[in-house]
Amino acid sequence: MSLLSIILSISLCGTCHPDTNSIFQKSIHNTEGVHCVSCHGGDPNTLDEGKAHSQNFRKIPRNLIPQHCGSCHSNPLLMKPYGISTDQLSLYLSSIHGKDFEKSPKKPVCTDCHGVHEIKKKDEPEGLTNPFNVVRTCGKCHGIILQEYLSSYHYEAWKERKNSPICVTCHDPHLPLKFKTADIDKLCGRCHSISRESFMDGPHGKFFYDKGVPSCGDCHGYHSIKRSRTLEISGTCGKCHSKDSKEFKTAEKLSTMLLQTKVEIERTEKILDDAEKIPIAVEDYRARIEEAKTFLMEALILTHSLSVEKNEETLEKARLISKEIEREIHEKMRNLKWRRFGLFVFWFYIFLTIFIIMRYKRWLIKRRSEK
Amino acid sequence: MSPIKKIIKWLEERINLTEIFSFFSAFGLYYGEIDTKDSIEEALKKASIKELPPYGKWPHVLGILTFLLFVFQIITGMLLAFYYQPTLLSAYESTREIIRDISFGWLIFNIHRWGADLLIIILIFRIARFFYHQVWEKPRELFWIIGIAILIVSMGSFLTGKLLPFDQNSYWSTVRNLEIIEKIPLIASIFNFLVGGFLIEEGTIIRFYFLHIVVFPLLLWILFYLHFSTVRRVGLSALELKKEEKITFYPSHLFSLLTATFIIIFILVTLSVFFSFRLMGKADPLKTPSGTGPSWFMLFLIPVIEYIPWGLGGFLVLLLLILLFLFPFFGERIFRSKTLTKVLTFFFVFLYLILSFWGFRIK
Repeated sequence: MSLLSIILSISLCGTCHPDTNSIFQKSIHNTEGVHCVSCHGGDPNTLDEGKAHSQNFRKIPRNLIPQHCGSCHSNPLLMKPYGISTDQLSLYLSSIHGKDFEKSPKKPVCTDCHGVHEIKKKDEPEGLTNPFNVVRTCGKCHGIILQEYLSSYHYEAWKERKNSPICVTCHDPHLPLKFKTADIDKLCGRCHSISRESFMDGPHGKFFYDKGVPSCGDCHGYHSIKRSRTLEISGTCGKCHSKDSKEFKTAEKLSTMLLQTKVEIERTEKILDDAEKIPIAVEDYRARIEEAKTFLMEALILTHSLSVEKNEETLEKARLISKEIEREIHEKMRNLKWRRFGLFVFWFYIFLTIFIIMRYKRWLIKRRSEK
Repeated sequence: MSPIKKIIKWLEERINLTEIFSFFSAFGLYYGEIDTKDSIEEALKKASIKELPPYGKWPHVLGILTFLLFVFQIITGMLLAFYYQPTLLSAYESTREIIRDISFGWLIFNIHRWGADLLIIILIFRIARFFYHQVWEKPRELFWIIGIAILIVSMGSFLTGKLLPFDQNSYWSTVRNLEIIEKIPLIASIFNFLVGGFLIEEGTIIRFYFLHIVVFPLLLWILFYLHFSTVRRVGLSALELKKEEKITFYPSHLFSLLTATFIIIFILVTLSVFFSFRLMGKADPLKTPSGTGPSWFMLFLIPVIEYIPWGLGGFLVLLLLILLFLFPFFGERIFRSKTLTKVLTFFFVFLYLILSFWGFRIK
């Protein structure tokens, strides 16, 4: 087919299908030279409906969509230049989506996630698989999970930093699986590697290795992951351990230690805020309080090992920094009180001067009147 | 001959010291006229025995306090200018450096800021005092007109200086001040012409700085000179004075001036130590702190401008300003009764306070 006829084919199909054509014009397929005839066949060079819809013309039924898309996307020769992997169809067919689709064509197919005529690259803002849109795309079917995710710390961090997990970070887009609980430590450990190490070192890790419980999700939740439940022990530890147990007491101790350190750091930060308004130089202290916060964060991670000693050692470092800063700031503030002492001396000098001036003035006037 | 007299004689052979004395007296050092042909000794002798009304005593004290405060502002302002950098990037940092790191920088900065507040308070009181004692009647019309001009220029200097520390408080306070100025016709046009808009941008700080350290102080020097000049021509306000109250320039007036200077230093330093201004963090145009309003003396304009519809509030403020300037030319015909004038003074002061309080509530 010549270039001219390709151009003609677009314009002639679009004559009768203007809405579809305008959507298609903006798609990646159109940009890359895939046109109406590539999927639908027919004769693009005529305006006669009968002739146009002849020559192997086809509408693509839903049950054939994966195979149809796969005819190009599983072809290494076609996909190689774009760096797109060609295992997408096979991954899809082995996924929960693919298996469900085999039972019922109503289950998700390629076009449900990627769109039909409006398919865009995932780095385009309007692309349905763009990281900014993919959560909503998955949420079209998984509404409850979407709501859970939107309430999670992962989403909170996504809004702020744009680099924290979205659906496809944990669930491969073409191989969405329900994870086995036994593997969840590996999945979470992909990002939280130190937490995983600490977890596996502690008693929970050993028990998990044998029995598969407790997993990350048991304490933190799954899609509705909360930032830290260390300070809400009754809701987390209390689920498995009675309040009188030794384990619960350890958890209480850890929680109290962490909370105390957190409060101390916050108090120091407030003192720094006040000192900055005076102003006292606080830049160095700000850097040091960040160091203290890092130790607190380290201790929070170490909490997974449930070792009071390890935590105490790290938290002590944080508290020490906090106390040092407070002592130095208070010392600087005490120095400011010397200003007031200086003021009293100044007052004395001023009043003495005024007194001398007035006496001298009176004496001069008296002397002049005597003359 | 004493060594000081020898030095004066040596200098006098080479320079006209009387002329220098005369120059300083033009700016309020001495009340009276000086013949520059006299030797400095003769001129000082004549000056010392010159009879004066009780210059340094109430109510005339407000005038000399204004000038003394202005001189303090000039001195402290010059010291601050050594370290201040008027750019968006370093205005806040350099102010913080002045207060935090430079020896006695905090004191100079606080004296400058408290001095500005006191100057405006005293100028407002002074205008009220002029009204109370009818200091607009012939031949003292210029007392009133120059007094109003000094107040307006000082306010301009205050408002431009307010932005310079470039902390949250100064930035947002200036934003609110500009919102008010924007609604007063003519004043808005003059401001727009000088600064080039009502948004605080890169160039705004340098323009405000120039206005603050060059234009407004120069205008104030000129106005003070004109004021002292008219005082020399028509005399101080004609209060009824007893004969025995008359005093001479030396020692009475000069020593009263010295006492007043020390009292001002005492007030400014005490305020600076007990009520130091605190920086509220670098200005952030995207983060409005709660409770920031325009400068305190602008508060009374908020209800006038915001509650009078169709932008007429701005016109009313402009009209009032024009009437204030022209007041001496029609005031005499309207306010003939001295008692009525005195009662009205309290009414206007009360009205100003009420409007300011209202403005404070809705700022």
